[in-house]
Amino acid sequence: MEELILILIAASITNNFVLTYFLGICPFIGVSNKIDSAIGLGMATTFVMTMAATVTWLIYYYILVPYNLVFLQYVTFILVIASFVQFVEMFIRKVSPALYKALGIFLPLITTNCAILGLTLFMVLRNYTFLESVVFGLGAGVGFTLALVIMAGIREELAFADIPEALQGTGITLIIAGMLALAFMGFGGIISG
Amino acid sequence: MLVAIISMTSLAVMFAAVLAFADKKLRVVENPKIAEVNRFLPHVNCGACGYVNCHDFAEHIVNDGEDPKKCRVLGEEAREELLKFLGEEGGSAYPQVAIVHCAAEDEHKRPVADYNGIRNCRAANLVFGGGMQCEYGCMGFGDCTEVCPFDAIHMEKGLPRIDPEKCTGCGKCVQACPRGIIKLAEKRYEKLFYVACSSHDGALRVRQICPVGCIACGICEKLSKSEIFKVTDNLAEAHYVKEEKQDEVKTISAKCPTKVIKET
Repeated sequence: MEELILILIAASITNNFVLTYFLGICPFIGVSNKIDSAIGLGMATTFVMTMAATVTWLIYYYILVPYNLVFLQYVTFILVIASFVQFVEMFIRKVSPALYKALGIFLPLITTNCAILGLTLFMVLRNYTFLESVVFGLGAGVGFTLALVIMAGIREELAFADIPEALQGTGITLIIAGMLALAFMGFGGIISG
Repeated sequence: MLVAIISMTSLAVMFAAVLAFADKKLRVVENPKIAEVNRFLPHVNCGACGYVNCHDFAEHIVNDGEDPKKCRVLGEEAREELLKFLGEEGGSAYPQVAIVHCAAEDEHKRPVADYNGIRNCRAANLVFGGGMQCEYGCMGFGDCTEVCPFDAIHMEKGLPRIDPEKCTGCGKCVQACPRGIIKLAEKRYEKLFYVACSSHDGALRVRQICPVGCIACGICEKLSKSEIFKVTDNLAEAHYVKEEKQDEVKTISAKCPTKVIKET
């Protein structure tokens, strides 16, 4: 139990995918304009991450390993991820057309979000058990959402700040991302995950 | 090798089945015209038009009347075909024109306070309506004149005047007006009659604060045999769903006690 909690906290905070591994930077910069859409994309990514971790673990240990097909892991993982993203896209389009519009191209781009492929590969590298993998996926998703929402919150406030013209837009966003990463690295070493 | 092929194929088929099932359950029925318009577009998703992809652009063409010419990739012939398709099927049959539903000129407006804030309608509307008594009327800072891409709106005596010749009915001013005074109407006839007031205040209050507001007396409603006018929530509204009744409207507008029924 303790182990699971440690993995959850490690994946979401100390080893945050976005801010310490620098995975999934594209949506981090692209969808962090508004808190609402940040939460939406965070939820979608969390769902995909958790489900991907669950299903890829099953496929990896019950199909790929017994039949000596580990060399197919990338293809398989991408297949799983793409399927879930497609599902999430249909679901969001049905349930919340406004969110679907706000996320735009970044919704299908979850497929190519390296944080998710990274998650599944980490899972294999670290020899997680089934339960650990699920928690790891959930933690990573929560961490991604956290980073995205923090960034969106800062950027919403930023609208009122007097930023030098050269740094407006993506420039200042990247600088803030760097500072946030520094702040999150302060957690490093508390838990090794 | 064989195992690899079989396992990958079966996995793929499994996921495809799940997605196919989800597609059945979660399908969103969209306007078939969007797909039709999308067919004309180049499908390179370059984003030069300002939308995410061609499909998004098609959606805006159909729903919001976006200009198809914004697509820079489309060839001359294809564009003409698209325009022809839209011209015959798209939009309303009549051109639209914007109408200002307020008649209060500077001399009619009663202030409650001096407004010294930012000189635009959006800001003024947040601060007690820029010091005007009427919560529905035109504040006269001219946000609509600024957004008009066709130079069709000009302020005269504190009220925007729309040049019906220049107005294309694009609806930018409708969005710009924080009080929703400007509305689009189908230009079915040369002259349109309309109720130049947006106030839902009761007759007593309108009488006190505005000499040209609609007091919802209901005379127009009683006189209009073909239900052109209807009073709801203290405001008369003109409907043009019936056939041409210009003469009838003229006699009615002459009877209006505050002369709030005007023509464009």
